[in-house]
Amino acid sequence: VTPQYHPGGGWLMDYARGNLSPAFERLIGGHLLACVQCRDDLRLAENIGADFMLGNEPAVTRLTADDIFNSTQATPTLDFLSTSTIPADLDFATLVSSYLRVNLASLPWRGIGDTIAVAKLRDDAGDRLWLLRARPGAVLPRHTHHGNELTLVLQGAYVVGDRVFSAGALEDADEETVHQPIVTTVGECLCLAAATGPLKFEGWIARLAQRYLGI
Amino acid sequence: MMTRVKSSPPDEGSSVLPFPLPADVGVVERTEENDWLLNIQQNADQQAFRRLFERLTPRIHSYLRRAGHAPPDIDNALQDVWLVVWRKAHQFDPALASARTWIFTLIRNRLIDHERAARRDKRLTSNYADASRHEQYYEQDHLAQALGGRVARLLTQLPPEQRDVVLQCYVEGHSQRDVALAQHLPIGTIKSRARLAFERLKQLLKERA
Repeated sequence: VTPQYHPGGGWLMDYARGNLSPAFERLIGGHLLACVQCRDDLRLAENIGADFMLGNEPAVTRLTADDIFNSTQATPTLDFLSTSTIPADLDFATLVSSYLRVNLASLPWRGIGDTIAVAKLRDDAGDRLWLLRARPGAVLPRHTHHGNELTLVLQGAYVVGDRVFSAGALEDADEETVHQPIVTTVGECLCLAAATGPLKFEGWIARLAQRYLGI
Repeated sequence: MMTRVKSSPPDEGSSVLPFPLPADVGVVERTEENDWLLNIQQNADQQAFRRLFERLTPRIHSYLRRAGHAPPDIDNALQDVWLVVWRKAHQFDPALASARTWIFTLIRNRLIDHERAARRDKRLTSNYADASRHEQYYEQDHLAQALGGRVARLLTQLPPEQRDVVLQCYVEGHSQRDVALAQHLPIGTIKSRARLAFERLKQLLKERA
């Protein structure tokens, strides 16, 4: 996949510095799996971070190199969610699921008819991450947000206005964006979404459905 | 107590700085550090480890102090990170990152949960906005502290509001959303400032490469 829509540099700088909550970090991480260009940009953002880290005047520290040689402590695991090993033979949805360590089939999906189903993955102090699947041609309720909402397409495609988001593409929306995604007729659409706070739907039917789905 | 650079005559071409820019020694340093780390990786060279440790540790310590970490937490984090450097140097890939960038990512990974918890606490106490508001002094102070780095030098070529977002991100550890909340601006405004800042830095770094 070669995604058409990408996170802006600010997202990559925040990811590089470790400023993002788990929901947004994983969503950006998912896009990085698909996007060579953003992986290059992330490397640059990390280089910038290293420059800031080492541009400071030295402080006095008690720790010495001998403390490290003489340590009997077990070696800590300092792996971030790794995006460095990318098996080329997986389709994107499977790739992201294994990165998120979830099994799509066994998730607790909550659905409304066969139109739309949602599986919540996590909620850290209001920053939520969920998977959403919608049948071909489904029209999602018009909504806006309390903060950022990032959506990463894992499979299929949806349309917002004149933009088409297909596998790997990332849509960056926020409290100033009102949108109504419409799934294309090609096939089922599977997305990963991260948002701050609950979505703000227009219309009471949508709000009722929202309470049931927990988004 | 760290010494701050006080007002000396402005450097030509960088009107925002009240002090002259030092020479960029980064290239030589980075090459040395990479060589040391490769020596640790291939020969378990203690001497190379000592050099790398002594070059980086005091500066990382200072950086983490500025980001608000307490000295005991910093020592614990540094201990963990240097253990990984010593025992898992084989994980370093010079094709992907320089030694200092690899170590930067190890520090980030070690502190990410700790910083997230601190950020939540900070949001709960609502004097957050006052503590991180945009001030000229604050900005010059951070720039002065980070001047050993070539990126901080390039920041002088960015408009103040873009420079601020970059400093907030890397020095303070504030996300785009944190900045928007603190400055009472729409998140979209901050995202576009950050995007422009990053594109400009990318272009400036390419020109120098």
